[in-house]
Amino acid sequence: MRLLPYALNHARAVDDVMRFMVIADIILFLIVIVVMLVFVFKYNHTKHSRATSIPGSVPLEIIWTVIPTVLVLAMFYVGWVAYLQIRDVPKGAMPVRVFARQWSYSFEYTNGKRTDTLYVPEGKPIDFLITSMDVIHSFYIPAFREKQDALPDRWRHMVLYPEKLGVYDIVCTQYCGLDHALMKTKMIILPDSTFDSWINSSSTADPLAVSTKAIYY
Amino acid sequence: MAELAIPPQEESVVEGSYLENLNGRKGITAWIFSTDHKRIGILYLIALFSFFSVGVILGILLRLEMLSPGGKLFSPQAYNALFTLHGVVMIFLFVIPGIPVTLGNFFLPIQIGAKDVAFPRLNLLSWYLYVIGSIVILTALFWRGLPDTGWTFYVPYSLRTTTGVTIAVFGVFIVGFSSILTGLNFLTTIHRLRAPGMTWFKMPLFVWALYATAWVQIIATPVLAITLLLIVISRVFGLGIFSAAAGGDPVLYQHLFWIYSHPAVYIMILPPMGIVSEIIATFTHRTIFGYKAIAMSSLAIAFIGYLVWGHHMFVAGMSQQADFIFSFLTFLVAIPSGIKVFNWVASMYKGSIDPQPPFLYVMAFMVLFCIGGLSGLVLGSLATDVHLTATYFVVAHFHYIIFGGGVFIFFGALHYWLPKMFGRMYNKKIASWALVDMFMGFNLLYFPMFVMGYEGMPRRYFTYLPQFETMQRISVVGSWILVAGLIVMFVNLIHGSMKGPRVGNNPWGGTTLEWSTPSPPPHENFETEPVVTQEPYYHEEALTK
Repeated sequence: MRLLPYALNHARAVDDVMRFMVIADIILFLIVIVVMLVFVFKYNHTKHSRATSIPGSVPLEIIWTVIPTVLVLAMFYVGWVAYLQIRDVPKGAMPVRVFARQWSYSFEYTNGKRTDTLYVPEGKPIDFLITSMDVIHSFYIPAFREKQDALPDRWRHMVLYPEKLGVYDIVCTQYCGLDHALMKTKMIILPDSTFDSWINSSSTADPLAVSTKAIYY
Repeated sequence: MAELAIPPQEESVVEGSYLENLNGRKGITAWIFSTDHKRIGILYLIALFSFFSVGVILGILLRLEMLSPGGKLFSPQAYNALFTLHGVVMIFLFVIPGIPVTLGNFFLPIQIGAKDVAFPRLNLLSWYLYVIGSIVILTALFWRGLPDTGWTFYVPYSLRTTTGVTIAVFGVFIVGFSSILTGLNFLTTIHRLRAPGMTWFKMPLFVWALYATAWVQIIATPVLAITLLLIVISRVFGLGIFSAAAGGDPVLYQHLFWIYSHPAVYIMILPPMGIVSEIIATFTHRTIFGYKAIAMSSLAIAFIGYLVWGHHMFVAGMSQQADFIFSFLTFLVAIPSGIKVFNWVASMYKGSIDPQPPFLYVMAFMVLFCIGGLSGLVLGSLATDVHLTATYFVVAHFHYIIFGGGVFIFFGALHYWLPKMFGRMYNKKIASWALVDMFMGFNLLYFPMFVMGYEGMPRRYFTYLPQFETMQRISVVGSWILVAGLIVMFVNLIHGSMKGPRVGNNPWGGTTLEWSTPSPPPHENFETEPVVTQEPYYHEEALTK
């Protein structure tokens, strides 16, 4: 299996949860299927012409209720803990507003600068504030294992830790009409100093930013 | 295929059977005006499998588009409309009515020793509602253009698109009533019409499964009806209930939709689970292990299944508390399914197993359903769900559950009960090989989707990034292999039902009441009213412990 590149702690945490669950799943699967196949061969009617009717067993019912219950609660717990990483906004996170619309994204930084490609500085937690200007979209960065729906007239948070310089895909995963499949852009993680000089230059000022700034700040 | 040419036996209809026309009616009117539950079951079978064929053709076309990135076969609009129609037809016109209206209609009264369902005319009305609703849905094809919203009709997109959403949604609304009335009919039948001696814990497990399903149909389906009506009112009169700008909430729609549509998953899977118990008990020639645990787990699934709808919305931005509770409950609903699986395997212990085609279908089901169910755990977990939801992983998961679990058992049940329904047998060798082919095609088609989903391939895309090409192509080839098996299976079944060799009343050695009546069953099911004294799976030749 070709794995996605690791990009940050959260992706690693998700993959750890995934690995735990997949291994547990494979073990459970093999137990059920192997035992079934053994019975089907061992008790084939040609070899075992007379069946024994066993109506049930209370101890067995308890065992195969309790053990799976413990197992799935463990799965629940590890999934919940890893999930909180992207929901609890850390202090000092840099807010970036995400505007989704049919069929593109635009991003607005604290100083009002707007871009279609997402630029973030390395090493600083980002607090995405996500909304939609028309229908529902879903802001998805596969390499970071994170997504959040963009809803019209609502703001939703998603936290991301850009730990490693690079260029990552951003796509839309909530069906949003004709060109849903083409609604994508890139996230570019820059060194802190490069980001600082870029964000403070006025070269790519977006006229849209002026109007929305008046509304949201 | 040469083996299909079985020499036809006697051609005439068995005298006194339900296949013999009554009241001087002939041809199609003898069927579409009949209130005999068995004839209505056959009418549903014809209608459902017609729509299933449509859904399969659409599915094949959707896959074909994925042969190479760039989407050369269909325009984006056409692709979006095709996956919507594929979903609507398969979900609302095939798997939700599914086993209850077809085999449930046919076998529920017989299995409890009744002459018919409690309300035979209401039963026929349900069929008409189903047909009318289906026609209304298909009208959208020619009138306003196919809806392009996906089968979930999420707002606000479904309020904005100019395609025929209003018509299609209204059609689904009508079909919903067919489901509600069938549920009501079955509940009343099970409560009121059981044969003398058939106490609740002497009912076959298929009846228990239909009982649990009927409650879900009655309680959950009205929520869908209201929700769809709200879409129609919003589109036609501009009601603002789902519009944030007007003080409403688009996420409210998702809540309402999934309050029905998640329990609907159990409408799809509980009846097949009931049939798995029937087939295992028959072909192991011993009683089922843990009868009460299996029966009660059906009720538990139906109950907990109401409380987990929010797991479709972990990225919609619910509160953390809601996410926590829905994830927790989702894991709990896995437990009764697990209990069933363990009891089924235990039921094979010390059996005398005769792996006839229906039993082979159960074995295939065990593999596919376990993969589907266990992948569901991965989606129930919050951290992994945020990554995998709305990707191919979800597509793979629900096809394993609904198609690999539910529909494979629908096929297995047809192989199990066809000799009872028509008094004839299909070619068993062809049936087994068709299953082997379908099983391989199915896994080639859907397993790569787990991998692609994990790698970030979103669903409902008419194109994809080049790195997915190999996996996509394997999946496309799998769809061809699967369909080849489907065609062979259907030809074999249809041929068997009309021209196959005659068989006796109980070719498999089954113990439930339907095997004690002639094949095909007479008009009112039994020559004399049965009296029940034994548990449903009592095999007298088996040793007892």
